[in-house]
Formats: sequence, structure tokens, C-alpha cells
Amino acid sequence: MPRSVLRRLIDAVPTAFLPMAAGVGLAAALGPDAADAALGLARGLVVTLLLILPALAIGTALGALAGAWAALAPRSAGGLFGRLLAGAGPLLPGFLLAAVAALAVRAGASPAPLGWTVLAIPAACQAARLSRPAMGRALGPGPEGGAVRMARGLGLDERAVLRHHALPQAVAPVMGGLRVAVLAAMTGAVALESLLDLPGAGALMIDAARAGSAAGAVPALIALGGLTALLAALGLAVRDWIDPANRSSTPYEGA
Amino acid sequence: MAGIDPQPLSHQALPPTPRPGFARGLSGAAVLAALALASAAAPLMADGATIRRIDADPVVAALLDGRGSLSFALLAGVLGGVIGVGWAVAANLLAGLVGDRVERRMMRGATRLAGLPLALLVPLAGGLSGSVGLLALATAFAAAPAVATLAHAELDALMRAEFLTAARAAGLPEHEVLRRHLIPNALRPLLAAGMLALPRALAAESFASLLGLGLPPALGSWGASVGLAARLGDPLALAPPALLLALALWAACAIADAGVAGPASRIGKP
Repeated sequence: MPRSVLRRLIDAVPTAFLPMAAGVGLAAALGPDAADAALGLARGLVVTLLLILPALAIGTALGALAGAWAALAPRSAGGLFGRLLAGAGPLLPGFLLAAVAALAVRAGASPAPLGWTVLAIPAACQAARLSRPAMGRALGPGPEGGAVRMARGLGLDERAVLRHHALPQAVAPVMGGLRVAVLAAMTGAVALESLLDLPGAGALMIDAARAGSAAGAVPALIALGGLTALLAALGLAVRDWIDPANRSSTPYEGA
Repeated sequence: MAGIDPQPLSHQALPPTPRPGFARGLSGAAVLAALALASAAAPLMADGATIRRIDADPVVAALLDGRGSLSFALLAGVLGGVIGVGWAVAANLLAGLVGDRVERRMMRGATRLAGLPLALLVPLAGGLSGSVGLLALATAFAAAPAVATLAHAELDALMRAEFLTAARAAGLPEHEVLRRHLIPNALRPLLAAGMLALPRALAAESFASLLGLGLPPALGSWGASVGLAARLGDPLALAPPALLLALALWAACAIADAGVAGPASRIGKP
């Protein structure tokens, strides 16, 4: 594991792991049956993580590539798709897509792939929105295009220039701004779990809130806050790992 | 002397630069105004007896729901905007009075809060209290940290603007700098930052109502209608409120984006 990833995960201990542990501990302390409540919440957190993490990874990767392609070849089919994704973000909030997915599941569709797709779409929109201008800057005449110009000047072929110099510059801001995509995915996952009766931490919180039980809802909310911080920290760790600034000869002080 | 330019070089009129996102913001404002007008006029399209009936026209029912969603979003958005802008202004004032450390702590708190899923507080408040006032307060609190972060960035950029340094160097007293330069130039960026609360409030309320923990059924909400249709498995009932909600969210985001992009590009021009 690269050192930057490890460093970010260690930094995330107080903001991510402690709230999750506190949530599980609170559930054990306040719940009617300590062990059951703590285990239920821990299991719920795993379900929520399994719902969000693949969707976030696939959505961000596809969105970042589509956005970068939109800057490279805006009139091609891939470029149009990237532009569509970049512009459609506010139209497609995760919770609304979750409602559409719930409708499809009631009509007989399979919940798991549909759930991942629904949660991946807002992440893809956010990634395309960030990577498109970043790719434009990396290929443009400004100071951020220096690495690409130098690589071309040294005679590297265009594919290598794009892969090793332009694309990392386009993807790094996407990973830095992953926090917004994580928040959208979190609300989408809570809506999806609640509408499809999945045993996630979000559904536990909503069920407890419906029953008017603060003792059931607050620990789940704290734990979900920790999970959000963990996913955002993972995004920053990946950003540190792929950012070309971290591989330059100039000492890098971190974001 | 026909070849001589009558204007000195320093007074040459610059070509007007298009404001980023202005056209999109204008279309957003037009769409939102049209939605608000259609929602306000919706009772005229249905006689009173059919308004709350299950067999009412889905489009008219969705427009009726828009009254609740848009009014609540406006109320909570204004509240969230005021709290967020007040937070940023208070941090800047305290920096002058107490020191930069307090400002840094206040803004670090806002940044950290903006990274948490505060939208989850809204269904929690709806489920635990059921009061619309508390729901509005929770929605405003969910939107305020992001507004505070942006408003603080705008204020920070304004405080470093060259025209303020020039005014101070010209010997203008501090209250005159405040009255003639700082306040008129701060109003638009702060208003733009405050507008960011509107789409967030609309999204948070719709999310809570979709889960059945938002506005009471008597007020009506797009989120509640979408949630009910999803539970019943009725695509015809889901489509109109979902489309209207998506359109309203797009319009509110377009207005907020245009507001943020516009004033920031003008900073440094008194």
C-alpha cells in the first residue's frame, strides 16, 4: 500500500473510525439488547459500505473518463456522453433515482445491480463535471499544461502523453472533490435501503426515526457520518496516490 | 487629424466579457418562476373536491404538491442562507476583534460540517418531532455550513482586493472604506453564496418527504408523492412529481451556480 494512502487512512482515524465505533458503542449502551443492537448496526454499516463503495468506484471511474474524453473530443459520441453527464448532475439526485429503482424492483428487476447503477449515476455526473475542465487545463496553453507540452516536446507518442500526463491531472481533482459524490451516494443509499427494505445502517436510522426512537436513530446517524468521512478520506488517499505533483522532484507538502 | 484616436489608451473601452453561466442562471430563474406560477395556479385547474382524491389528475396533483415543496424550500433556504452568511460575517468580524485563530476555528468547523451527511438530520427531525418549524430549522442547518464556507471565501477575496488597499492608501477613514467600498461590494457575493441554500433545502426536504418523514401530507410535497408512488409501484403517479422535482432542482442549482460565478469574477472591480 502506498505511503500516502496509509497516511490518509491514519489521518481518518479520529474523523471516520471513532464516530463509527462511537455509534456502535452508543447503540449497545442505549439499545434494549446491547449485543443485538451493536451487531445490527455494525452489520448495517457493512451493508451500506457494500452498497456505496462499488457504485462510487465504478461511477467515478466512468464519469472521470467520460469527462476527460469530453474535453479531448467534445463532438465524438464519448465526448457527448461526458458533456451530458457533466450537465445532468442536478437533474439526477440519488434519492430520486432510488425511488425509480424501487419502482423497477417492484416491477420485477433485480435489486443489487440496479441499486449500484442508481448510486453510480450521481457519482459519474460529479466526476465528469470535475474532470472535463481539468483535462482542458492539462491540455491547454496555461501553466497546468506544461507537463503535457514538455512530454510532447520530448517526443512521447500521443497515447503515452494522454495516459501518463494528461489523465492523472484530470482525475486528481475528481478524487479531491469526491466528498460531494459521497454525500450524494449516502443520501441515495439511505433512500434505497429504506424503500427496498435492505438491512443497512440508513434503513435502521429511518426505521428508528419513524418509531420516534432517538436511541435507535442517533447512533446510526453518528456511524453514517463516520462512514462518510472514511469514504471521503479514501478519495483523498487515491488523489494523493495519482496526483502527478506527488511524483515530481519538488518536495510535496500535502493538500 | 483623422488618424488620431480621440480616446487615451487608458480609457479604452474593453469588450464586454460574458458572465460565466449567466444564460443558464437566467433559464433557471425562468423555469423556477414558471413552476412557482403553475403551482400557485394549480387549484384553478382542479375543483376543490378532486384536489386530494386518489383519482385526481397526476399532473395537477404534482403541481399542487409544488406549493408545499417550493414554499418550504424558500423558507428553509432563506433561513439557511442567513445562518450561513451570518456565520461567515461573524467569523470575519471576530477575526478583527479577537484574532485570526477564532476565525480559522469557526471556518474549520463549517468545512468539517459541510463534509458530513447533514441532510440525514432532516428526516431525523421530521421523525422525532413532526413539527414543521423544527424541520425548517434542521433543513436550514443542513444547508448553512456550505453557504458559510463559500461566503467566507468570497469575503476573503474581497478583503484582499486592490481597490480596498488603494482606498486605505488614499487616506480614506475606515468607516468610509466600509460604507463606500466594502458593503456595496460584499452584498452581491454574499447574496450569491446565500442562494446556494435553496437547492440544498429543496433536496433535503424532498429526501425527507420521500421517506415519509418530511412535510405533513396536508401541505403536500413532491418528495412525498414520489415516495408514495414508488411504494405503490405506480409509474404514472411517480413521473409528474419526479420530473417537476428534477426540473426545480436543476433550476435552483443553475441560479446558485450563476450567482456564484458572476460576483466572484467581479471582485477587484470597485
